[in-house]
Amino acid sequence: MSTANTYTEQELVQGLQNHDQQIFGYLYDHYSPALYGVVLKVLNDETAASDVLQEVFLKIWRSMDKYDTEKGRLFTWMLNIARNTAIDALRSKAHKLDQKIQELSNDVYAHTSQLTVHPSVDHLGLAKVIEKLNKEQRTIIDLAYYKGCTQEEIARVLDIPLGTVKTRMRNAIIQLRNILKQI
Amino acid sequence: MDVQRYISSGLIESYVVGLATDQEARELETAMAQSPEVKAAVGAAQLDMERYVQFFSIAPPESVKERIFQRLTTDGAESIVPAGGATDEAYSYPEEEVVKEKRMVGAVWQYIAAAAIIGLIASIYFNYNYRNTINEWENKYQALLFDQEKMVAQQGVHQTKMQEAEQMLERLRQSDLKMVRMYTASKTRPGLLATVYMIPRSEDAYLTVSNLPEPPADQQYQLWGIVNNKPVDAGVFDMGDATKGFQKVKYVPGAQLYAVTLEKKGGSPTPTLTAMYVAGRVGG
Repeated sequence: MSTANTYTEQELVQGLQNHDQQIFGYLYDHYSPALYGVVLKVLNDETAASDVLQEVFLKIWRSMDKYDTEKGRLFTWMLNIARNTAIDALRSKAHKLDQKIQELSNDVYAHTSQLTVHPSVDHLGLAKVIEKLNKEQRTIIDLAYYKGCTQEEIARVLDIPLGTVKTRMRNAIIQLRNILKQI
Repeated sequence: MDVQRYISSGLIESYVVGLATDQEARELETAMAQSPEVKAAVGAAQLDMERYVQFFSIAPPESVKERIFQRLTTDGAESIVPAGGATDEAYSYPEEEVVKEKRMVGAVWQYIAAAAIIGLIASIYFNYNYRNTINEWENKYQALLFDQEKMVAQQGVHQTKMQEAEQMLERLRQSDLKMVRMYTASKTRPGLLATVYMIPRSEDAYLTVSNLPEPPADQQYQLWGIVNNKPVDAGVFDMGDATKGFQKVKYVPGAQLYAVTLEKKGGSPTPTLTAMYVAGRVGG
């Protein structure tokens, strides 16, 4: 997060496990844009995304005692809850594969139109990532992460052999890493 | 365990974006527990992904926080139900505005996309037609080219035949031409006729067959010139060319007689006299 934390991760976890609403408010203020970004990109529908975001934070609040610091960072854990909840909602809407792809290409425009409205977005970083990550690399990451596509579905969409999906994904992430180093 | 294999296989990256199958995830989690190196690689990929995801951060509608905290206070141990439209009406107005604006933007893009798709379809259609037309012309052109080649070849054949005929006529007009008519040699085979034209000046001889039965497949007619009662081979001939026109045969100098016998394919060194079909005397 760009803003300086006034709580350490340990204090946050402890506060949340003690059901401290003030700390939960702080958590919401700091992490909701990132989690909402994920949910919105999955569902591509602001109303549905708002409902799912609410559900995500309630899940975080309720299952805080299940969170294990050993297994990973708090943000990773919250992201997983957000992604899984949103993808479940997406599946219940029974989106077809081509619809998911359509949404992926649409939402880039949706975001660029909103960039001016939401100062929390890292414009420059996003622009650089979109510019430097080629279309196939971005598609392979987005289909997997935001649309919960299987390896088979990705192989079909990108018209590549099933056996190469994982290596393509590796190349995409490596490229992403190189871009991130430059930002 | 081969750590490098895990790292280069792409499984780690696939795991981080949620693409790994359950089995693959279990396998990797086992590897992570055993190898700090694998664990570090997973952690690094996870960080990359998290940074990527954060680029798409967007502030949620303000009403959401309010709704969550309302739920917190009324929340016991109830099951989690996604809150639908059961929110305070006052908060939904600004949200509506944003939604409308987004829908407008969406609609514009829909029109642009629709126009682009129509354009693409039209383009595909015209390309398809154009290609078909080109293919059609290409085929026609090839057919014409083929016909033309065939005609050139035929013309060559005709020209050669013409030249042969002209040469033949030229020779026939020469004064020293001798015509040797060969008639039936055996009473059992009546009405046969073949003719040898001899041109002593150029020592050329031509044969034409007016009537000879078609020989069996394993046999051929053989022409003989008989000089002082000794038969001299003048070559075998097939029915085709000799019956249709004039076939060049061997000129036998000083022949008094010409005869045709039926021999085995390829000819015989001496004639089979019982199989003599036609014979004729060379005139003075």
